[in-house]
Amino acid sequence: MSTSTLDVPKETRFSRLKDSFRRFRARKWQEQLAGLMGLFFLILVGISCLIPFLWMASTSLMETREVVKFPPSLLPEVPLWENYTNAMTAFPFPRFFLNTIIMAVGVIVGRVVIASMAGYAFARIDFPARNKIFFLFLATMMIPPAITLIPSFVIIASLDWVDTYYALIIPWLNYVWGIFLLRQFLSTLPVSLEDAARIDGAGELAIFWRIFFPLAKPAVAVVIIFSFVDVWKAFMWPLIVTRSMEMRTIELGVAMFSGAYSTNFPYQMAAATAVAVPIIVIYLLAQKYFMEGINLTGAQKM
Amino acid sequence: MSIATKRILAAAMPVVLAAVAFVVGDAIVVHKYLGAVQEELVQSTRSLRGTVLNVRADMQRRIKAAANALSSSPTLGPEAVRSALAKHDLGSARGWVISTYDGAVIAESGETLGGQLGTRSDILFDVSREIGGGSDLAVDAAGVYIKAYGAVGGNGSSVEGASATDAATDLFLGVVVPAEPVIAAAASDLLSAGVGYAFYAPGESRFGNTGFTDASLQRESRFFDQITAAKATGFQIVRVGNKQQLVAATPIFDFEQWQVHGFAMASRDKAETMAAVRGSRITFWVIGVVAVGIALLGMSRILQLVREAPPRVFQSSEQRRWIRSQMVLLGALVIVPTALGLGWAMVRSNADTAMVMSRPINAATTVGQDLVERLSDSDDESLVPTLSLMQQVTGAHYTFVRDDGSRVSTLREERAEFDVGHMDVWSHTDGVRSGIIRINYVIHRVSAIPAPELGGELYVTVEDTPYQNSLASDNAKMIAIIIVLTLMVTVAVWIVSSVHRERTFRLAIAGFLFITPALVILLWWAIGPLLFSVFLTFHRWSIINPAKPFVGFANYVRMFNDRLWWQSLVNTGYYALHIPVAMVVSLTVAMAMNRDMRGITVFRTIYYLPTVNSLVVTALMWKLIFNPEFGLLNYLLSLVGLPGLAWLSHPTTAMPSIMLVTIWFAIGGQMILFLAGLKSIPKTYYEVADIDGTPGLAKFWYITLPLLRPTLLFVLITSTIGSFQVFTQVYMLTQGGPAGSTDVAMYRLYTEAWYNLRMGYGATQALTLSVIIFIFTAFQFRFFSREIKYS
Repeated sequence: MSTSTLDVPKETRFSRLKDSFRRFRARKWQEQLAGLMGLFFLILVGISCLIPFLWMASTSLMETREVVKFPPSLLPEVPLWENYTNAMTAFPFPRFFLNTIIMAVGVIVGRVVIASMAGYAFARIDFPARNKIFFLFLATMMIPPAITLIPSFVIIASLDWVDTYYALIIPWLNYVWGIFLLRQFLSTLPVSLEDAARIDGAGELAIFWRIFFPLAKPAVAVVIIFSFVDVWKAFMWPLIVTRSMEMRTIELGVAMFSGAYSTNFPYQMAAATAVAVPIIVIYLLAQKYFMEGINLTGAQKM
Repeated sequence: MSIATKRILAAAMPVVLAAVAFVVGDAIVVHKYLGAVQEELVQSTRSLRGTVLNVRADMQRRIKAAANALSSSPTLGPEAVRSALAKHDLGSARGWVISTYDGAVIAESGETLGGQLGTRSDILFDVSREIGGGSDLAVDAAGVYIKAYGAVGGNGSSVEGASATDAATDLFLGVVVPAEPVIAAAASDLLSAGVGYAFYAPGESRFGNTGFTDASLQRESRFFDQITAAKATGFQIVRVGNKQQLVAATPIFDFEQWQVHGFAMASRDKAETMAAVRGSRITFWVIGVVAVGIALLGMSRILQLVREAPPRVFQSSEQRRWIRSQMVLLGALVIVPTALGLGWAMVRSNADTAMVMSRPINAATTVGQDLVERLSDSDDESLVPTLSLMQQVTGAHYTFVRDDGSRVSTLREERAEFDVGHMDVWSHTDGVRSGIIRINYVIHRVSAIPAPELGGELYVTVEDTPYQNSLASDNAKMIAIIIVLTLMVTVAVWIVSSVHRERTFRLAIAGFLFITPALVILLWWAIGPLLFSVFLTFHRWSIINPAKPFVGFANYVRMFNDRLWWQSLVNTGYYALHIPVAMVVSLTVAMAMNRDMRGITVFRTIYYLPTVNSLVVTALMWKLIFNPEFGLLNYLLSLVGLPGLAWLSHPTTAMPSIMLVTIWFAIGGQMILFLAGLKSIPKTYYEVADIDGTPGLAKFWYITLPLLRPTLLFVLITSTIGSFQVFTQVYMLTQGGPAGSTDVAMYRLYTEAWYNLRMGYGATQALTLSVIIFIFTAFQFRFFSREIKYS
């Protein structure tokens, strides 16, 4: 696993570095050159990955006249921190953040409860037609979001849920990927766990809640992280089911803000930075779970 | 819980459900009929309002004629006025006045509304001056009346008691006629059918013929206040004495549609209404009781057998099969009669309501006939406003079709061009053909009224949508009951027949309870929408229009002829071409990273950053970078001496720009997958190749690529699926432009569904797109199953 380096003690890491250096010395010059070129390539790609972010952050502190200059200026003459406060107050950004948080909490709680219950049943309870039903769940992963978009909206509209938190949360509770993840995770646990509890006379719910749910923490963490990112990045669904300013989520808020202030690039970039920072921080803190989630299922989140 | 209790509970389930099904079914039958009656009452009151309008307009026409006659009269004395009025059937006039345009009264007689008639204090008088005549309703303590004005015209006739200057000015004739007898004569059909009117004078006096006592109306004053404020028809169940009445009321306003003078009301005794469906309901209940009774008998017999035998007896497979067959039989005994009963009630109540629903068009037809008579000497120019006013007042649509095929209609656009030849005639009375017709797929009740004097036919159409909707939803409820019942009975049969296996039973209950939330959500938001979208493709479906007609393959035909759609598919395919580029880059990155070096995880963190970043933010930062005037990219080009590009604002470069953004953020995710794939290739393969002296490129070609094939295919296919549904980048960066060069499939169907409000057509496009996506997904799954064989 790629995360294994984290667990290696310091001395070993150092000796490995020395090792790799020795190996580098031992190679032929062509190979040395290839290695260096590879490193150069990696740095080049890394820079091109970072530049837009830095550019955004830098622009967010400029005045408009600095932005529209050619050649472009790289850093602001004087950092204008009030761009942030101005942008955040020009549109109800606190409300957008609140909406996203409410949506995220609802979606995460719902998904964790539903997915862990279903995952537990599929992994540990041998009920009739279990595999057939599980296959049905997996098969629905093939349904592209494009096709359910319009009918889901019609359902939302007929329930009179347009512009409500229900519309933002409830359709998102369908999370087969999470069920699959939890099922895979819970299947790996030994049978002796529940047998002991059963002998003690525990019910199915108690076994799930007291034994398996705590053990499933790593998988649940992956579900939480990916759900949070899903919600944070949600764009098309909130776009069609919300109408009033009060119900817009953060992504929509930024999109609308950039439309309203289409010529004020510092404001746009300040708002964009404010939205980008939380998700980047969460990514940096929870990187392990991101990599686990990707490697566990091989599914690429678009 | 003992096994016996469980058995009794499980076996009782179908019976209880059947009983519930019958109660709900009965409620639906009643609800459906009451709904139809409501529709009928509402339309009747609107038609009465239409009649009042007709009466008023007719009065105006006659007074205009009388005023015209006065124009040619040599003297303008009371005698001349009286004879002119008598000649035009206005002998019942309560009073009249002749005044100048300035409002100075020249001659008057009888009741003139306290001197208001023909003076400037009357708004209608002012308006009539502008357009040469007018009419309105008015109510005072003495009763309801129609007042109307007609221009006497500029004539040179002498006027008794008028000065020479007055005579030179044009004059006005104003007349007050009691309204009640006129309305009663014109609306005799409606009135005899129980529709009534009530007019209110300032103060408490009330005129009308509705059967309500003042006290009962007083109690409902809020209801009338509401419909007065909304100026819309209302419906309510009102308690009058100790009887419940279904009441519909439509406000009748003055000519400006400003002040409400009174209400057209239609009421029906609720008990009488219910009596009309009593026959249907009794039959329905008899079927229900018999069904449940038979089921109870069968159940008691089975329970007896079960009770007599010890539980262990049911362990042989033969006996299990026996008890299962008994339960299936019992289930059938419940389901079949219940389904038959509900089906019968459905058909029967459809017929009941269909009869009720034919009445509104009859009421509208009567109004239409009056309209034709009134129009017979009206000129062509006034036809359009007259018809549209009538449409506002009655809610029905009017289309006048001339013999040469040209038409004047209150229906708009292509709906006005409905094919009169496709009318399905149900009845033919007094030359009026009545029936149904589809106008742009929506079912309408229609009456064709011949108007030979006008040289054509007047088509009165009432949209059937509310009725069709309630019919559809109630029928859907009935079918849902039957499906739920079948499901529950199946479950009950299964429970009873496997009840002896305590462990299986317990596991099944636990398992299904645990997956129920997920299953409900899955059916609600994945499988349900999938099936619903197929249903949508055969319908025209707009969120704002209540009519959602079945249109057959019209959406598909439209799609095949829709050049924008095909262009968007081509654009989507073009966009997908970024995938190989992204894969080459990310594979190169992954291979460069696949080495034992410290700090390599820092690179991984950086590369994945664009993938985790929100797409809106990504789009915003790139929009700035793409800026042709001061963007970073054009600056970089200028550094190497190249001219700048227009990027997003030119049709040739817009799509490649979006592809560039996608490549930028897609590399991270792909790289991680490739890296995992590369790490899983055993090192020994390369070591063996090294010993053989294989060159690097050959190692890549013969070891890395074949072993990485699963990851490569996975990335290729998931990326393709994602690319076919690209939306956010396009929405944020180009909105489909410039010149439609970035109008991708998802953006196209978003535009159709949410801007053009064509949900049905949008669903058709989504289905087509999904079939294309499905082909790729099928590839993916086929590839996965092949991989399983390898390992």
